[in-house]
Amino acid sequence: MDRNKPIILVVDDETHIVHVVSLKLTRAGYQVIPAEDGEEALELALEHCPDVVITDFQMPIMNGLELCIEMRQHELTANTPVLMLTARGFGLDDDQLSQTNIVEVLSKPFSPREILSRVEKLLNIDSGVTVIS
Amino acid sequence: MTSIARPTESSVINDRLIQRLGELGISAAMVDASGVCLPLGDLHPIERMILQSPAFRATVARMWLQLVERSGEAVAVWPGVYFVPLPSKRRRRSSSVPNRQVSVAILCGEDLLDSEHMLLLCDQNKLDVRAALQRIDRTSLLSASEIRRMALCMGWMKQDSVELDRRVHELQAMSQHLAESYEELSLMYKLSSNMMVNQTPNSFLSYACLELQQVVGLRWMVLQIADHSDTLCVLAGQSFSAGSLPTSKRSLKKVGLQLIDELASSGEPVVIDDLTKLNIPGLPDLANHLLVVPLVRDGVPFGLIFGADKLDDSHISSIDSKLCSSLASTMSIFLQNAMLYEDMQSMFLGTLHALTSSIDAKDSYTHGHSERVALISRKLAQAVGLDEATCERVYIAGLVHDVGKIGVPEQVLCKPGRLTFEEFELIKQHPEIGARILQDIRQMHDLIPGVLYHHERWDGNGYPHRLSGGDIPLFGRVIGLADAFDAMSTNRTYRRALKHEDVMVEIRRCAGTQFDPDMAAVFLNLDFEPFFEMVQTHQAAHDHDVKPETSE
Repeated sequence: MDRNKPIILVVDDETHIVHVVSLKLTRAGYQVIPAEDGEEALELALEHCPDVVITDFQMPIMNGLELCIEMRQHELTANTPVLMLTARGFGLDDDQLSQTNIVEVLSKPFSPREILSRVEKLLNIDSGVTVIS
Repeated sequence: MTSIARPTESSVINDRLIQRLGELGISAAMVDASGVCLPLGDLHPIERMILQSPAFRATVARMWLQLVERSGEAVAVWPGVYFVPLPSKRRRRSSSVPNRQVSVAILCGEDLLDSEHMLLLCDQNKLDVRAALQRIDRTSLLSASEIRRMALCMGWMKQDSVELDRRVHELQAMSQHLAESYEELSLMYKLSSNMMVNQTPNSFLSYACLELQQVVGLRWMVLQIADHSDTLCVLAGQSFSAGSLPTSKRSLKKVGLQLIDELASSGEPVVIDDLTKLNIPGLPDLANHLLVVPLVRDGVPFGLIFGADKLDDSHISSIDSKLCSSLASTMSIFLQNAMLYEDMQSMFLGTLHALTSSIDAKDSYTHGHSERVALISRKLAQAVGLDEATCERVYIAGLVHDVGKIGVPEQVLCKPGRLTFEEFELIKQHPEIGARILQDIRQMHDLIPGVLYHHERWDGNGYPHRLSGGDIPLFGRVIGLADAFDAMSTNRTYRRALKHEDVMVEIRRCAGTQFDPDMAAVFLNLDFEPFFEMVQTHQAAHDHDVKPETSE
């Protein structure tokens, strides 16, 4: 992995979503690591320490919320910001959110352009923090 | 990691194939039509000699067409020297011009050693044939059947690579389309959910214009409503813009109005690449390409959207113009609804005004009273922090608060001087009469508390139900205060208007007895300027109405 380019982990069991998000991000110069479920994503997150994680909520084996809670437990990924994609009308309560690093919940159908701008915003805001950690 | 959606060119396939061949100990070269062979990576010494040989090159040049056509098959250039052409740069399907270069894998077989070409090579390189033959590593040479199998494998590898390449391209194209559809879907969703909210046309159009400019990715975009549009009188001549504008909004509006005259009548979206053709002064300086989408309602154009140049310098596509035009029809529908709503709203308010002023007119001293109470009630509602929609309802409740007076005899209403007990009992019925009148209008049920309880008092000594404190509904407390203020501030049959200072003293004095004390505190700080302006207007209108009678 080229550490000069930000690494984004994109997790969704619906591969077309991963493709759409990856296309937008790779064209903007990011490196994308795709994953199909929470378990695979957690392994990859610990291996590559991505700068941002974009994950679906509903997935087999380990869902998005479980992934985020797990990531919070590991030092390497404890501070990694997460954007969560959910079905429209589906919300997470404050208690659930407080156990994770979910910075924003976006509902499907999402705009790929918006995801890119959120990622850019996150990386700019968090650049100071990443250097320290 | 499995890499996906990475831009893949045919050259990437070639590089991948050549790298794999290298790992198998097989060399590769780039060959052109004149027979020149450039090695791709390391070569065996004997292969280097072969590729440099003019005789070999001459043979390659003669066999060039075979090499181009028989990609993936082993072509014997010399006995024991085979080229397996590898997939080269993507060729256009319809192109009849053969590629100028082709990359090949080089396979050397045992046959070479016994051929006359071996002698030729040694001769050219001034080598002793016997010594050369001894130095050659025979294990690196292949038998005829090995070459055939190797070529077959390479053919498969090549086919698979090409297929993979094609799939990757397809996947990318599909992801791209999908991304665009997602963008559209999300835009449409956002706009339609925005349409559900009771938005003003202005804020909706500004929002839609901004979203569209960003989704289509244009440098700037303007939404211009025609200035002659009579159906959309509120919006006529208005323009909305988004993005980094190349000139002042005023200049863009001028351009917009001219574009409407020139293009809107077609009703079809159009992309203009040569802006000098339009004959609109200054336009060619503002953009290179322009997307123009008319806004049409009932077949009549009433405005247009125009936007310039893609941010990524790509061409404005038919997808872009289709998206804009479907959005344009959504906007038209929204505007149509907004106009209908506004028509209805203004008719509703007009009817209410007519009704309430006819009630106020029963008593010349209360002329304009309802309108002023409505005005002050809304101001008070805003000042205590109610939301805009509720403030509007308070305003309407203020307008109709005395509607029940229609059931009170005129001689009682207009009686100068003190009322008898019985007369006052009659007057006291008007809140309940009003509530009964509104009972039959479903859309006005929420106003009833304002009508029924505007004569209740904080200390419980009001009427009709002697409610007290927080039991008095909010609308009743707001309108009660505004009603008392107007009554004190204007002339009545039974007394002259008090001075404003005295009115304020009275309200302060009655806070906590007659009025909600918190609300009275807020009330004292209101801006009364619009109220006094309205009093003067009503006074002037009243004098005007009264004068002709007095002059007769």
